[in-house]
Amino acid sequence: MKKSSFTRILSLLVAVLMLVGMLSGCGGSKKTSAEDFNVADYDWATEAGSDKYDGRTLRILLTIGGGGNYYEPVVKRMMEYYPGLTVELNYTQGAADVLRTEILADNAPDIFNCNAGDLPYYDAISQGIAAPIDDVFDVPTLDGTATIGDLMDDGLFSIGEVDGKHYVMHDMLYMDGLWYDANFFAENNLTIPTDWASLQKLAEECDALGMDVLGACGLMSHEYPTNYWWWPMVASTDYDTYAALQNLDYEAFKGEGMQAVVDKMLWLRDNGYYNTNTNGLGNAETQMSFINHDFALLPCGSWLEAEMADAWTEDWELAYLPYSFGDEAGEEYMRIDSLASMISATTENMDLVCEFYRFLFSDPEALRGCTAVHTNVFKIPGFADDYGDLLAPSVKDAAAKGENMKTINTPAGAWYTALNPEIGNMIIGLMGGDIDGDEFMQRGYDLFKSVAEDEGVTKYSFAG
Amino acid sequence: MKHNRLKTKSDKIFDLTMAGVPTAFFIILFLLPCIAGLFFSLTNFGGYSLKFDFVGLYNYKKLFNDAAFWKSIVNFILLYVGTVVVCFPLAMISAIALVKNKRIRERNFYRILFFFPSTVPMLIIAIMWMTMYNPSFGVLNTMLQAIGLEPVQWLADSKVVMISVIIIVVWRQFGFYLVYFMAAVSNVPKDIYEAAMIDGASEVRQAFSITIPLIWDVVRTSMLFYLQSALMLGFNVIYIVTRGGPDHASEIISSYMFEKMTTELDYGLASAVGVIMLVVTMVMAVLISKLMKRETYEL
Amino acid sequence: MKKLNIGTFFVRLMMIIWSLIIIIPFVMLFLTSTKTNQEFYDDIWALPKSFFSTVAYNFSEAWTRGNFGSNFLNTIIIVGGAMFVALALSAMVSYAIARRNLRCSGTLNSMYMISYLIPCMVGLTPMFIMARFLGLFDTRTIMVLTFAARAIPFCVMIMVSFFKTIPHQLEEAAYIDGASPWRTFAQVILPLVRPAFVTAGIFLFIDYWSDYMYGLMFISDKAKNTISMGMLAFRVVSGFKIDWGVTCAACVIFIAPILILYAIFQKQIIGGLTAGSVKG
Repeated sequence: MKKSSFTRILSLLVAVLMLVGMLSGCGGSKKTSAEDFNVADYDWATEAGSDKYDGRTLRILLTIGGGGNYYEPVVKRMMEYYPGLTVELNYTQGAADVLRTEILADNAPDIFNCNAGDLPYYDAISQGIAAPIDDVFDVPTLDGTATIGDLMDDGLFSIGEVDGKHYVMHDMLYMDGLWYDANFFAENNLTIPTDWASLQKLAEECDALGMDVLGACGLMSHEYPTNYWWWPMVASTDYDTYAALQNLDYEAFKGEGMQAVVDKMLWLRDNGYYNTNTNGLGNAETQMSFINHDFALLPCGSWLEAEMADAWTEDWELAYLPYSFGDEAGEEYMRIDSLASMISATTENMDLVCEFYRFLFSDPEALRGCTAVHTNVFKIPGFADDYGDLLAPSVKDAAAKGENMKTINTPAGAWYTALNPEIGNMIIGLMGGDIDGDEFMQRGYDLFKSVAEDEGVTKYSFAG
Repeated sequence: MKHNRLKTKSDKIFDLTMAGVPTAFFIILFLLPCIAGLFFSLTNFGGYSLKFDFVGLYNYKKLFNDAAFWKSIVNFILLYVGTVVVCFPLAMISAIALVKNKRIRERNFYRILFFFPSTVPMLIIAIMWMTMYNPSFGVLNTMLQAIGLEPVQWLADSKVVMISVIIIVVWRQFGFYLVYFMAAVSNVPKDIYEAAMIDGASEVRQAFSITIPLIWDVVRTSMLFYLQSALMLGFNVIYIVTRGGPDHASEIISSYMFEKMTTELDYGLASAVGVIMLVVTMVMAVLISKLMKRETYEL
Repeated sequence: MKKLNIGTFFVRLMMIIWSLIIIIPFVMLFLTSTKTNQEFYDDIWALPKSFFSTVAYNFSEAWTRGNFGSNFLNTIIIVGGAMFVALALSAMVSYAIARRNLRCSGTLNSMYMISYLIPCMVGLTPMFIMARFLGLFDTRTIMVLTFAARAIPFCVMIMVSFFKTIPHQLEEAAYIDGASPWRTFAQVILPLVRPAFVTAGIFLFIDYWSDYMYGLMFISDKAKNTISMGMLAFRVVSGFKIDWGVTCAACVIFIAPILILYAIFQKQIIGGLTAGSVKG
């Protein structure tokens, strides 16, 4: 008797909760004004002190990362132009978590800038939380001489492109590759490598000094060794293999090109030239170990100098190596990465969003402010001449060396979220001596095959 | 139970309120959401938007084809068994030694000190041990080198990393079980020992034939409780200290789940892991209570 | 007699070694919190050169960066509320299961047992949807409620065994005196199981104090953050340059309340455990 009343209460509760779930599930489709937005409908003429946006609010979410709070100078400039506008800039740790909560609460910020590692672009796109940014390209620059689209470099915008629409605004560029201490190299007469043979020479010289030539960062293996070392090495060693892998052609993982890559990795490992300690370290610890000269070359992005700002000792001169373990005759490839933002699919302030990007990319004062904060590169014409003095020396160095190199951006890693974490594990497994070359190639083959044959994964194609 | 008198109406209201209100509260705020969450394992839910499709057993298929997933289950069992094998016998022996040896007057000091780590949040413990394990400036390697031994790659060597994780967990839990078992040992009635003493049983023999059988029920229950703790403690250590690496060598099932949820944003798959996690822990719980069953003595 | 002495010596030696193993990491934590980053890298064992200025810098920096000021207050409200709700509800249902001879008590007990094994991560998103539906998103209330619900299985498991140890005669006597079951429960039974409250309460306190997953899910207003959410600013793995001194200072601030509470209540805490293990 008591039992039956319990059952009744329970089933009632179940019913209520199911109803709750269904109702909130149905509330998901909301009209986005990003769809209705048309740049031509708006008057883009502007002046300082305008009352155009009085009473409106623009909400921005920015993650705490290597770039620093580089939106603040932009917001400051916007306030000078539009004193009646409110801009809520939430600069926070773990922005992806904050974003998830705010989106589920129907309270998404208009612009969000999370780390690609925390919120992969294509996941954001496929889940429908991002609006296309193409409208922003049509907005005139602040001085009215061009459009934002004229300023932007097309190359990188293939990341975030789905069905001809772009969803990712690549605010600022990072140059990835290998970093070293120029002073230390000069003092010890170390070879600055230009190809695989000279790198072998450097490895032996380092060994004689009691240090290793290369280290990675095992705790973030999906990022550091994978993106900043391995992919560029694949491209420099055999570009066809690189291109085939972007298209999930898993046979390439057993081809000769990959064999050459694996041989290089094995050479480093078997001679003891790779710093295995870093397999168990986080990024900041790895970088400290690098500053400590435990190993000579660190795979990283050009945020390195700013990220470790007060950790560099007096004798350090950070320099960039435009070189990714290729062969002498081959082309060298530089991996380019970005700190990118997205527009919320539910934004109702598309005009304000456009204004924000317009200030970010075309207001000289905002640009100066931003560059001073993140000390990195905006891919806009004449940037090096106008703002080069604000860059960190190593970034300037990398930018100059990168002028003559082909750029790659390993889109497969962005398209297929499962790839890089597992490649990272494989690299650490191989370099740590847990798996051999054949196992590495077999695992890579299986990994790419499983993604290629997975019907639940949307496929993209890479043109080369 | 002898408590069989007829229940009046007010008794029934009392029972219904006492059992019903907390249970309803619990079901609404915990159990149903969890069950609903387990349903996500049949969808491609990505965590950020509530638009998702049903995909049947797709996530499970994907999961069973992943070698890392199986490794994470094996590693979890390894972590559990490893910590239990190190921690429990030592804690039991130490508890008996501390309680029975009347000469150790400072036993209360040990008790207070050893118990303290289990009150400290795992986040802090993980940060502390990360500095201890650091290969170049860590305390452990500096000490090893000071006495002329080779430094150990605590977190970078796939053969050592699980041991390093177990060390952290044992470090935190040992004192807890010591205190717990000490309490159980001191609750064993004195007169049983007196009888044994008259029979001339040695102290070791007393420990094995009286104390341990009598506290066995406590030990078994703590092993069951520890199952859930191992999942959470292991996760907290691994998430900060190793991230499951190198190459999944320290991946346990809860860290695997979190990795799928955060790095790959695959909530559907993560929920499937959650379902399997539940199955694994339940099977282990049944096994433990079966295997550890011994003749218990009523006190 | 001599044999026993060797035994004592051996036990003592082991205990002292283990004491050192326990103490060293804490000593390192406190020591590092008084040093600058450079001093830390130069020699981890060395004492700080300028103690007071470094301590002042590290702790004030940690305090502002972790936003400890307002987070402390939120944490106390949330942890206190959740502990109260969880303990009260668990006591009720445990009493019903253990003593009221219900037909469904076996079912209820095993429901809580199995629930204890459910990883709460899987339920977070549905909980969030519910919180939004109830209009409780971004409130401390939902933190209190969900925290409390999560802890009930654990508390029930502890309390049921406590209630079972109370002699039946007490209830019989109260019944004969004409006391209502409510009164019996509140005035006769509850005071007897106080150790169970202490034991369960401590574990809840530690659990809530360090949990940030629920906070990340339910709270978006920075003014309502808890102290462990503030600690995320010091998260080592995804951090940038690690400021060991400041990070350790934050850790010290984070565990200070626990240390103080432990120092004050250690007798009750350990006593609670003692009582808890009377029988399983």
